[in-house]
Amino acid sequence: MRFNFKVNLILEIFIDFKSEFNINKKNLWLIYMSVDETRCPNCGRFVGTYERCPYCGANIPKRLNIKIFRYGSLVFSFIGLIILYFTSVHQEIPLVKINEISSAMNFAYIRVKGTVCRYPLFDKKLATFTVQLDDGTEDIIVKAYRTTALKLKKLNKIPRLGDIMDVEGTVRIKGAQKILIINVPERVKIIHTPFMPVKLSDIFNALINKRVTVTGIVSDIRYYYRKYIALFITDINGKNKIKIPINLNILGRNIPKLDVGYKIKVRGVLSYYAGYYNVVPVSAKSIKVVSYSTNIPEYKISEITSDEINRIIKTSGKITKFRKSSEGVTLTISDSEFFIYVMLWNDIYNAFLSKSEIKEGAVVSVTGRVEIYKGKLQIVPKKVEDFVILEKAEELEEVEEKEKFIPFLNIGEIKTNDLGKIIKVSGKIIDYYEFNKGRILTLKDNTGELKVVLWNDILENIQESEYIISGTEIAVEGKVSQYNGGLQIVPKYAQQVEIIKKIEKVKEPFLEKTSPNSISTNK
Amino acid sequence: MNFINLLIYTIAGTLIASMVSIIPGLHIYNVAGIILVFSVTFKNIIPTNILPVFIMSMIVTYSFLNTIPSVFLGAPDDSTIFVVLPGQKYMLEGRGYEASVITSIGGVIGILLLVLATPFSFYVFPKVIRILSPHMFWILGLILVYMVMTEWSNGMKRAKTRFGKFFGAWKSLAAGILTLILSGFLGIIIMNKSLLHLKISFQRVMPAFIGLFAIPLIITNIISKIEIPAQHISESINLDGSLIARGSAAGFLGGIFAALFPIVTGGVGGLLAGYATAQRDERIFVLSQGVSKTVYYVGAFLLFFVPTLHITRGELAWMLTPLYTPHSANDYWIALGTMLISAALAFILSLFYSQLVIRLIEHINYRLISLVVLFILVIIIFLLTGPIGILIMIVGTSIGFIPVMFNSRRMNCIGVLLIPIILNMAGLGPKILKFLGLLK
Amino acid sequence: MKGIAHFTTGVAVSTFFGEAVRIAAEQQSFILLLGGIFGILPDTLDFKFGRYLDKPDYEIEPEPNNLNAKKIAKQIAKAANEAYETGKTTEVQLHTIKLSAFTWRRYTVMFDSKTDSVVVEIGPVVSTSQVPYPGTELQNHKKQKGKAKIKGKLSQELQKPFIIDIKSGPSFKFERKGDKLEVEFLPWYRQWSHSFTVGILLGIIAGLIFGKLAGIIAALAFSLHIIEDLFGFMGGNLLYPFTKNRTKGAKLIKTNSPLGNFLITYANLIIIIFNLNRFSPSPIITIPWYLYFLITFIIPGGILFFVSGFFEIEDITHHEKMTAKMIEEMDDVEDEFM
Repeated sequence: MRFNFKVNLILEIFIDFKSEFNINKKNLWLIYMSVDETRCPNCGRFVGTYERCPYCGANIPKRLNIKIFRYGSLVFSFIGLIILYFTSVHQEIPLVKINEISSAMNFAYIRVKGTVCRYPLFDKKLATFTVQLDDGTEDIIVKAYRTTALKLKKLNKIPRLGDIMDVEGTVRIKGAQKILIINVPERVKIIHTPFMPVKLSDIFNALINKRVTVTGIVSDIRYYYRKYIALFITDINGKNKIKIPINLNILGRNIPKLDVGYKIKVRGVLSYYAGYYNVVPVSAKSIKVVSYSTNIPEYKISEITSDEINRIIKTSGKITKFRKSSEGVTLTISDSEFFIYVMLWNDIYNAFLSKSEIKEGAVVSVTGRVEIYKGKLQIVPKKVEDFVILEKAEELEEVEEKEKFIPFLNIGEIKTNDLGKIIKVSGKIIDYYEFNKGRILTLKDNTGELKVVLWNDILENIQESEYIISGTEIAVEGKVSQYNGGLQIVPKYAQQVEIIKKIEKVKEPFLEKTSPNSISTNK
Repeated sequence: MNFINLLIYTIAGTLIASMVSIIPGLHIYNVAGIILVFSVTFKNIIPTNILPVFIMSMIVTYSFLNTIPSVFLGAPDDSTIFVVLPGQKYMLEGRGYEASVITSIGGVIGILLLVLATPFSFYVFPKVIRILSPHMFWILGLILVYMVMTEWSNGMKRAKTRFGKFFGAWKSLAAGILTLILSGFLGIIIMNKSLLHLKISFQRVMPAFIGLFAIPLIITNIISKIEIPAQHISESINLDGSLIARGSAAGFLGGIFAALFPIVTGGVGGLLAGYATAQRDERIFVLSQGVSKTVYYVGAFLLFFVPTLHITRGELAWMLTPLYTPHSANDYWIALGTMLISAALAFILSLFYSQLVIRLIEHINYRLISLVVLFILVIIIFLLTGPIGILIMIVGTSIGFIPVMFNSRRMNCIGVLLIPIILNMAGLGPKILKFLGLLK
Repeated sequence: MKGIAHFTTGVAVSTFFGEAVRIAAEQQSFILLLGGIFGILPDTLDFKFGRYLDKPDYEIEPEPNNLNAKKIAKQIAKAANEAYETGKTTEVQLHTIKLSAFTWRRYTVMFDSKTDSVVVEIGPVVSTSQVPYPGTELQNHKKQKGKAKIKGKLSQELQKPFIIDIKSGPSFKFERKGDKLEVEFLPWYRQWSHSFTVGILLGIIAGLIFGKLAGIIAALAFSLHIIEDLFGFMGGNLLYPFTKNRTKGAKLIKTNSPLGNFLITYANLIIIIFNLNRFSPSPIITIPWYLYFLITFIIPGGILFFVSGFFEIEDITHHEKMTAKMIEEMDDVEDEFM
């Protein structure tokens, strides 16, 4: 069979051709076949794409390009696929840093390796798995759906917080959120990292997203909507406070009972949020109570300084002042020399069964955290049990009645071995000065001079207190104490100050005099 | 965003898409992808909050105007095509303009039906999708099975022996199945391996798609020896209410099915709807194709804005998700408004462009146009995806030529997406990968 | 019924099995796919296998450039007469006349039981959509019609023309039964492939491979296809090989009825959604079933049915016009055409 064929592709222009038609030789694109390849040359019937006439069996010459494409398509599709197959078989899935993933990489198939920085979520009902990975550059949400999620569970490839996860999948970008969809659960690798024991003081940024074990004293517990507990722990000195966020929805309600003062050990993943280092517990079992009560240090009031701020301490003293406010009750407790404020919030105060016993004169023991408020130190107990009445106020008055006899001494007779004793003196005020907590008088009699300390609350209650100035003769009853090497007498009640002889009419306005050394102290 | 801004970007999107849509082989997804990358780099030119409006106008216009190249520039050659589709038939009878207008009318109807379907979008579709979601893998499998089982032989069955007849008929059927398998294999490779550079991953299917669907069509044009007859620009269209109703119903069903289900394209949806409604009239077929195409492309994108639905359908919505997320029903209404304005403009432009293309092909050989387009496509693929993209395109072209040359359904090439997605949804992906040695 | 109707029916019936729906959702089983596959399998078996196993004794290939209705009629009559004379069945295959990629020449064959003859008429050129091109009828009137006498008495039921235009043509089987000559249209169609026995057999095979539930679904879907076809015209050979002939259908629905196909397909989709919902662990649709079907099917279906009555579907293929004309003019086909 002789083929007369023409070409209409530029590639075939080098092949000889014959034509029975006028051909525009300049236009190489338009070359027609002299044989109508859609009709059988033998029977003349339409045969379309057939190369052999289905009617008479004659061969129908087709254009070379059609034959090329017909058989070439089969050949090239197989060869091409084989080439692509072998290219892809040996191709490694690229490991990409999360911060390098951009919106142009949507649908890319990549590999990511990072630490599980949020609690993994496996929803059995919807059969979905979600986890967040952080590789130090950024974080990405990794998801698996249905069979893939169930397969992950079956293969025990559900990670825990802090595990390192090596996963490959398809990138999806939704707005600002980067998501990786796992397609092949078999390729997921979980690396369980050990927990590193770390002192609270040694926590620093490089440990973020690492698994750590920390031990500390519970200094504060805050409850939110029955779903979330914010636990704060410090070291024994009350320093290096870190937060232990407890999500009850995830950890369940099987966490141990926790209380302020407990010493606990937590295994979790370190993070940083809202100004605090957080150790996020990996499970409920990773929170363990080491001891249920710690040796809470007992302090004298005089020993409590700003160094104890945030520390849980215990102290005791007599209530010298009781002040009620809308938030609670502020007490001033004193051990005769020094005083400190105690703040009972309404929930604590109202929980007290015998509130009437909380009054001036009662001796109390207080356990709480030392805080500072408006420049003043205060102790804040967290529970009712932390505030104990040691001696009721009435009992003390009885004692005072018994000790009615108070020695009247000359000023010159008062010695250091009288420290702590209640005595009575009289004399003339020769000098005085004001300070922010009260007034210091210099009292003189024939035998000597003595300082008298009148606190503001005493001064306010003294009748005709405007005469407590230089020139007035007074009698004072109070406890002997020592300050800056000098003895002084400190009355406790306004009634213990008696004006014997007033100075003659006050001519000048009352002038405040302050000592050059006056400071804000608890004394 | 104020109304003037919206209007400006709607018109701009419509005009840009209109110029792109008449280029044969070039898909709006490819162009939109490039524009999205451009918008990320030059946020001042197309602000992110305007992007959805711009993209919506582009997709509406494309759904109207992409008929023009397939009608006028897809000249079937009797040597290569055994059965001519109605749209092509219109062109060969000099009535290409009529086919283009009927399709555009279908597009307008599709848009109006989408507006009317708003209550369904808000209340019915979310429920239907939630019910069907756990079963999506086998539903897509059904589509695949249906495509294979309903492909009939295009042979002439004139062999002398039974075996001869069987072989002659099954040649085209086998070619169809082979196309499905090979395209599926190609899809498995490109979906599970990052053959292209990671930075262009959002267009990872582009070389394969252009190779499977666009290039064979263009090359067929080039080697075709048919001369396009003179086209008559008619002043009226022969359509009555009954035809419009039947064509619209069939087209809407097919289009909405394709829009709701992942991976299913407008062509598949149109095929199913055509079967479901047993239509015979060519006018109904052409009209329904216009409706189906618009409802699929625009409807899939519109679903992105439905506040209660939270699904992403269609390549365009997926491309937009990294940059924009709709937040409220207001976004839906804005999208709807853009859709309507753009549809009106696109319809007018379709008439204009149809006439322009007719004038063009009267003076410029369509084979030359096809050759230029082929060159442009190859350059785009090379610039965006590099040599490996060209290789994928060539493989795709080879596979895409099989149905053309062996008279089977070109739609079988959709296996490139359907097969890997079905396998992954069914949890068989890893097994297949392991079997193929792609999973170490 | 169109394939899509059968396909969706098969899927719908499979969704009635709660266990199947459950394992599909939870274990990613493809069991429900079997419903669709077996729902459409009977026609697939016929059109992709059965038709090629059929070997006609005569093949009539009209020449497009030399069309002669008389010649065609004579060839058909020859086959029929051979069957009558020898007592053996003969089969004749009539092929279509393809003129180009999208044009065909239509011709019509009718068995006239009144005159016991076969009448052939060459028609116009038609497109692949079976729409005739006006003015393309044969100019030569003598060659346009043809008639040939058949020995034996023809069955009364065949008094309708068979139109042969696109794709592939029909075949007829002639069988002598006593003094009568039975003519069977498409003898290979809906025989073994449309029998309950084959359905049960295939169900057993599917059951052995995929499990008992899969087997039941396969058998049911296959059987429902047959039942649906019984609403049509041709029916099926229900208990092959125990029965030899096809059981005729109820003639209630035409295969190509757009409304019928659509309503059945739509009903199936509604049923599928209903079943998938009720068997899911947390159903989303909670209204009672009767309300559900009232809202989703009965009301819209009723409206559609009512509205469709106002739309007269024009027969653009002119089939009905042509067949009516042929029946009317049957007696006018003079012997000169024989």
